[in-house]
Amino acid sequence: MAENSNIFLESIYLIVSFNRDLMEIIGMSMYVSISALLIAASVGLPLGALLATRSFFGSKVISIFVNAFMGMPPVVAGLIIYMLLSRGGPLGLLGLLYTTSAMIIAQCILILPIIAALSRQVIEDANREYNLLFLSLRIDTFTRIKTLLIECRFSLITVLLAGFGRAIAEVGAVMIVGGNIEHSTRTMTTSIQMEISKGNLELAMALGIILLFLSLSINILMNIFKTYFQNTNGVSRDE
Amino acid sequence: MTNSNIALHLDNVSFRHEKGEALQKTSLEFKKAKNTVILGPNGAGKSILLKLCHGLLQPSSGHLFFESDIINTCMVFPKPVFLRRTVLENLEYVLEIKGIEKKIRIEKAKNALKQFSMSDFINHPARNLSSGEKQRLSLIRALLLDPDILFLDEPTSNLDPSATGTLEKMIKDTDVTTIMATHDIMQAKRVAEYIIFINQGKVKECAGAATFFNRPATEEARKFIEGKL
Repeated sequence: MAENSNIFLESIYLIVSFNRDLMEIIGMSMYVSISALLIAASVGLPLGALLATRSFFGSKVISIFVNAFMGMPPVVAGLIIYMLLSRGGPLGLLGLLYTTSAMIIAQCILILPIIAALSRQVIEDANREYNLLFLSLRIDTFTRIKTLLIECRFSLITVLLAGFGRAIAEVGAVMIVGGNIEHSTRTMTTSIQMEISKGNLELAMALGIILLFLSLSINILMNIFKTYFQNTNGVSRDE
Repeated sequence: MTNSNIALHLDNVSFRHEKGEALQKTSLEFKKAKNTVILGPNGAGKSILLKLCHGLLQPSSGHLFFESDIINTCMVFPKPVFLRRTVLENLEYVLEIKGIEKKIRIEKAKNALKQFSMSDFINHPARNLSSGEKQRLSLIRALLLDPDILFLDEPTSNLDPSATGTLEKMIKDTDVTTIMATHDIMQAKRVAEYIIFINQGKVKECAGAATFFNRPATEEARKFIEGKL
């Protein structure tokens, strides 16, 4: 028990003293996950909006795939990207394996379906609600999508936070394609796994605390957005 | 520019949906600058007729055409839908869609709110308004687009008598050609200059309001007025 208390206190010390290794790992995790989020959002949000508002050839198939890939196991995603990026793979010439780019690609592939599927659901509900207004104003698809993205912005921020949560907590895929190389591709989750196996529980615990803090912060942010949205935009008395 | 007194023609228009024929071979003419009321019981086909006129539905057969000087039509629905924005921003939105620049659209929206005594609500979230206020705002939003014809689909069906009175006054005071669907005989008496009576997807009678209520030409219209249909 006393030993565990010491580990906990040591880990707190690592955090409050801004331990260099710890900060580097946190920085790498944030860089990879935020980059993946930005790329996935720039594709996932318009894709979700398009699937929600337009029925076109193949849209149902895309929806099915997007929904199915929401639950894709990270190690499977990691394996596929590994095979694509490895020297003998079709994209081997790019030399991306065991780089941060490969980790960003892996996280992107994992969170893109989540962002696309959840945003499709959010926008589809809003589109149904506003349909008569849009039809009555005879607006084009682009304006419709633009309006819906603005109208659903707070719900969509929640969707993005959910995507970020999944990305930052991911371990299997980034381990496979990043290789957990010190000062290069080491993230919080891969580092926790390695430090535990080495018996360096203080650093693992410190990283665990940071991850938990991030998770809590994301949830608090989600609630703040929701409350702010309801207070500033109003909830219909009919809703 | 045409001198015709007719705004909209319907030539043998039918509309069929999965439950059957909702509107049967209807030929009609809507006059300009008249408060026309489409009157009939629930399920008669009033809303479908309005949606066909506004272009929200396409006729299964027949033709529908506007006079050449009728460019813009707007519609007010029984339950108005507003964006999750303030009253001013909701009005601004429809003007933005029409390509009006920001300064002018703010001015127009503010003037419209002032004209209809809703300036106090300018920064309120539109969705937090009462049903009566929402419907007034919906009417203001439609009028802001300078429609040549304004279609009103049971605009007072969810309102109390006071809010209904306010809305009816706004409708009667406007110079726009209005075509309103209602099942409320008393409201039709208060608002209509011209009545189109419809039942079971068929137009049964078209007449001036006084003529329709004093001397209905059909047995169905007489029964409806007496509350027996």
